[in-house]
Amino acid sequence: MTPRAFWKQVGWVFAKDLRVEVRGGVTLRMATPFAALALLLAPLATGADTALLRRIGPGMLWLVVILFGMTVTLRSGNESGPVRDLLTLCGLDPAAGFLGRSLAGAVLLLGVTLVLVPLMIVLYAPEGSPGWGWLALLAIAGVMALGLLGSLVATLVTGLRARTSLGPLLAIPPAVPVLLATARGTDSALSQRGSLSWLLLLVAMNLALVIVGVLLAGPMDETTR
Amino acid sequence: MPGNGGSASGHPGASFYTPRVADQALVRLADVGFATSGSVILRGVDLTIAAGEILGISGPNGAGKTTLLRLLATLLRPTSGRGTVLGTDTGARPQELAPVRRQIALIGHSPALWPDLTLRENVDLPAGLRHGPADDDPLGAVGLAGVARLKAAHASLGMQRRVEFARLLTWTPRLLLLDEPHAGLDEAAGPLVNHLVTRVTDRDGAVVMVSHDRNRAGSLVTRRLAVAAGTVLEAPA
Repeated sequence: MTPRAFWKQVGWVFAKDLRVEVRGGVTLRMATPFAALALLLAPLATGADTALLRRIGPGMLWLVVILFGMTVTLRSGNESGPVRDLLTLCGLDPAAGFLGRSLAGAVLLLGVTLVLVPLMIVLYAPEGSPGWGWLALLAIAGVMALGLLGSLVATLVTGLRARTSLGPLLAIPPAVPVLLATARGTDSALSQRGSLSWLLLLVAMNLALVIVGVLLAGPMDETTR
Repeated sequence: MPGNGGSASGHPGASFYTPRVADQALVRLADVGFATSGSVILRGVDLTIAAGEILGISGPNGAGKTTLLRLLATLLRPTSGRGTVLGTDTGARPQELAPVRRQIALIGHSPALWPDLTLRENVDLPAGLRHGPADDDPLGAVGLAGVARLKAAHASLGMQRRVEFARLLTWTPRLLLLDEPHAGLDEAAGPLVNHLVTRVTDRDGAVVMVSHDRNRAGSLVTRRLAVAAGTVLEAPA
């Protein structure tokens, strides 16, 4: 397959997954409102301790994005067996499928994050002006890592009966470095400090996940039929 | 069926598997078996399918008919024996199988549709991946033009089947595999199935049709096989 044909397939899967998601509405109707509620309820539970809220705000934001985001990204591998067969017989390269699903998952998570970041700033760290450039870069690198991770785990558990419970269990441990990097990086950005080291960690994780995912996509697709 | 032609097991190239319609073999299986999780689903399958053939397969539930179709589609790999489909070894690497798979269509007993998408999107999306959007109106040709914007989840089984047939009007596979193609369809859809089948055979393709409905499938079939307890047997015409 030529590189052009490969990237055309990536684009096809990306557009198809976004379309299915928009029609199904899981992100819009379920994940985003519940994630926003979780962010809203935590200050009520801890009380009006602004110093504490300022400290936990970035961690709460990304914890909520990761946990509710998993319900979105792990869904990407939930296509029925006949649809998987159809895509294989249409000539879909599993690696292209993996990248397209990851990108679609990342875009959906970015949407969730865009709703939650202002909410977090208002509720947890109302003073000062954050470094918006750093926040944007961290958010993009963070959701991309989560999209790749969710798509990779979804590929690994495809066809397993216990995939609904196994998926989050497999996805959460490797998501811990993403949580650390995004939370600490966001904390730095809120203090107008640079977040380069955390951003580089996220970029390295993205590269590693792309390599592992692309290499595993084909063999996993064959063995999970 | 036993007594009606004998078992195919252990008889590669047995005479009753010699193609009768044409001599260009699209599929050759020799002593092929498939087992999963310790249970044997198919054993000793020797089968040759020639261009122009329309093979009818019958057998009880759980006999291995669907597994045989998935082996022919190269979606499963034989766990024993050897075979070629459209000239490529069934054990070949996925990259080598990809061009073969693109020439095969499988319509299984569960429709391969995205439930949240419309019927039109369910036709257009796979067409876009395979060869680009269709020029004509395949949904109109299968009688669904008026409900093209209906979500697949809200369509009846018969309508979902017609959507799958509409996809087949956007291209012509070399090997068409049909699992109970008449299930859920009304009488009026019979000619549509016949049209799709003859479209394939007219272009030197072959069709394998699993069907319990001998009346509806019977007129087209050029050769019959029966699958029983994992073995493929010659069945009376």
